[in-house]
Amino acid sequence: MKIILLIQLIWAVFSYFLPLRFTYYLQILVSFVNLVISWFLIDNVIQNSQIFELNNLFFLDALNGVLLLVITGLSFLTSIYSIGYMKKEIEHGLPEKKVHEFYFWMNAFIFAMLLVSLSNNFGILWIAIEGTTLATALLISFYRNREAVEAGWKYIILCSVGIALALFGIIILYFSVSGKLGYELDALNWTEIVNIAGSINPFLLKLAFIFVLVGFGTKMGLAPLHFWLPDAHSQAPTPISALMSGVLLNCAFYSIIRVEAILNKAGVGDFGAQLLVIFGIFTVFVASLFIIKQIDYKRLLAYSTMEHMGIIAFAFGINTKLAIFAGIFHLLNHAFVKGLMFFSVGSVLTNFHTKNFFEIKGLFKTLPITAGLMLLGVLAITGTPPFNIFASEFLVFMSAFKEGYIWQAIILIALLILIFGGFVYHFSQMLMGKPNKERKPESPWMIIPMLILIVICVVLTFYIPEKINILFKNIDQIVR
Amino acid sequence: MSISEVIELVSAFVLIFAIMQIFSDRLYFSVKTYAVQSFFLTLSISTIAVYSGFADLYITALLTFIIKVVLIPFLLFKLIDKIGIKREIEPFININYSLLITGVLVLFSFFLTQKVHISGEVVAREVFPISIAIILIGIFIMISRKKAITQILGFLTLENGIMLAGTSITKGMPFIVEIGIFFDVFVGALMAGIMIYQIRTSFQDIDTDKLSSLKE
Repeated sequence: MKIILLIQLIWAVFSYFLPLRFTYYLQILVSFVNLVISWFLIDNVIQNSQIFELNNLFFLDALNGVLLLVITGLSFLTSIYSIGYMKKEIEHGLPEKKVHEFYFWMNAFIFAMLLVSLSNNFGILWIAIEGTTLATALLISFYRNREAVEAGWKYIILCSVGIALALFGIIILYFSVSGKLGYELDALNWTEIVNIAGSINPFLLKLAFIFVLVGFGTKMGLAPLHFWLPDAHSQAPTPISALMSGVLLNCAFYSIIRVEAILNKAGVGDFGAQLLVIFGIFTVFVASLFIIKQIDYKRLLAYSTMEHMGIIAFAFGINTKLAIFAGIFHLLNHAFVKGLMFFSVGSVLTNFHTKNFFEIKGLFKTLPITAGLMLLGVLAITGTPPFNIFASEFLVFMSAFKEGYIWQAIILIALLILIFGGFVYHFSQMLMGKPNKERKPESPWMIIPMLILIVICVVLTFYIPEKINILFKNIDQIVR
Repeated sequence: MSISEVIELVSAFVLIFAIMQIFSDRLYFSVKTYAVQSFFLTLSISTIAVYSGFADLYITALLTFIIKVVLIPFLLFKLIDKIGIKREIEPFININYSLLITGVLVLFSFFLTQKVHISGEVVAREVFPISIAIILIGIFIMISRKKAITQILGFLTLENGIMLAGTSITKGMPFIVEIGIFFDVFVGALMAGIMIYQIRTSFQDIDTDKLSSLKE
């Protein structure tokens, strides 16, 4: 685990100075090495269930194992995609200096997310999450136009305040365990806190959870704390949008789940679970309203991310073995499908330079491969079979019905149908019709990651690899 | 005066200077107020350090002094000079009403924490409501003011409140964590500064209500 962090940190610095032609390909190599290392780490976790490093500051179990896999997997694919994206941007007049900046901040961002997923200590976890805010702030205002600067400002202010509140929650948590564990660094370690969960004052624990939920919930895009999210996702360069919505929001949610796990072990888990259910449904509701009336395709995808975060929160709120399995499965699925969607609209954006649905027509003629993949992506993300999102949403609703969340599940299904309609309507505007531009060449660097993703999406519906299945199943004991 | 009374007195000063932020309409003055407020935070932390004898807390106090009393105000002064906007002309809520609301917020935070029974060893009990009041005031400043710089000051005030709570209800966070938090806050303020400069160059102003091109 030290190695993976070290590689990423050193590479972040180097990526700023190396000539671009090296950076492009070394980026792929580094992220591939990280992916391989994380696979070995996960192998180790399956045998030993928990592994520790560096005075127990870092640890890995099934829950953050899945997160680690999502981070390294998606950043590997993004590294491939970025080559195609940045080459197009340079053709269109982006100075090379900016591309260096892009790579530096992207790697810093990935480093911060790896730190989130590997740290055992709530203090370090908080620092890492704030680190992701700082690393992405300048990426969001990357294009320096009015909208981008505005989105960057909203992002840094709203998320900093949110995360400051989460810090307050962590301080309360620290205070509540300090009687037992003392004022040591170890007292903030998740593994230590879980061991004494039964003896923590439940009132303080609930208070801490509220602050953590509001704080990291801001970062995760739970309504009504989501105002930065559509702006940030629509203004950031597309590879970053993919990483943010596929991975960053999951990192924030992961932090909430760690605290919820403590509540569960202390016997007051229902309190947190109820809040997650309410916030989850409300988030899907808000997202569905904005999806229907959206004209900007990147914003639409941002709202769709909110929708899926809401579903994941709902699943964890149901808090049964099946629901948690479904929730974590949905998290994985959503990360990959959203990566695919952002990649496909990214190549539309680099060719058309508009984000408005109605100004683009006939994509099947102008960008045939991208358009085909985009159509599959739309079907996947709205939960049509045979794609993986269908499988996990099905499991979520099955567990909801089993646990008696009947009307909540019905509301959610209705909202999902609405969202399906919105998606199909908007994207068909873009895909069909008479083309208003001639056919354009499609970069293989952008096509290959999309192909990999669509294959993963279909395969995961029918077959979950044995190792990942074991991870999924072990998460239940960790969370509950 | 017992030592916990000293701590309570000093943190009351932090609160007073947080309230002073509300009635300042000059950006220079606001930054100075923030510096003084952070200075009292430093005093509070060092008193707790004397009381508890934790060596870490001395370093925390020193870092607070360097970063929050010297560096951040210095950077903000430079920023104000560079963008050339010195006054907050029309806040969303005028100063009289703001003060009234602030009073309500302070009362509210004392009322809120009245029922909370903090068991175990607490250095100074009254600091808890004070720090919650500071946190609320920080949020209120961010909501009620238009200028981007005042919004940063609101955030920094909020952060001071959290710091105060962190050092008074617990005996400070572990040292590595403190360092990380300082680093993050410092870099955050720096980046927000850069961002303000970008806003200034693309909007010719730093009124955040002019940031309205992204709407549904």
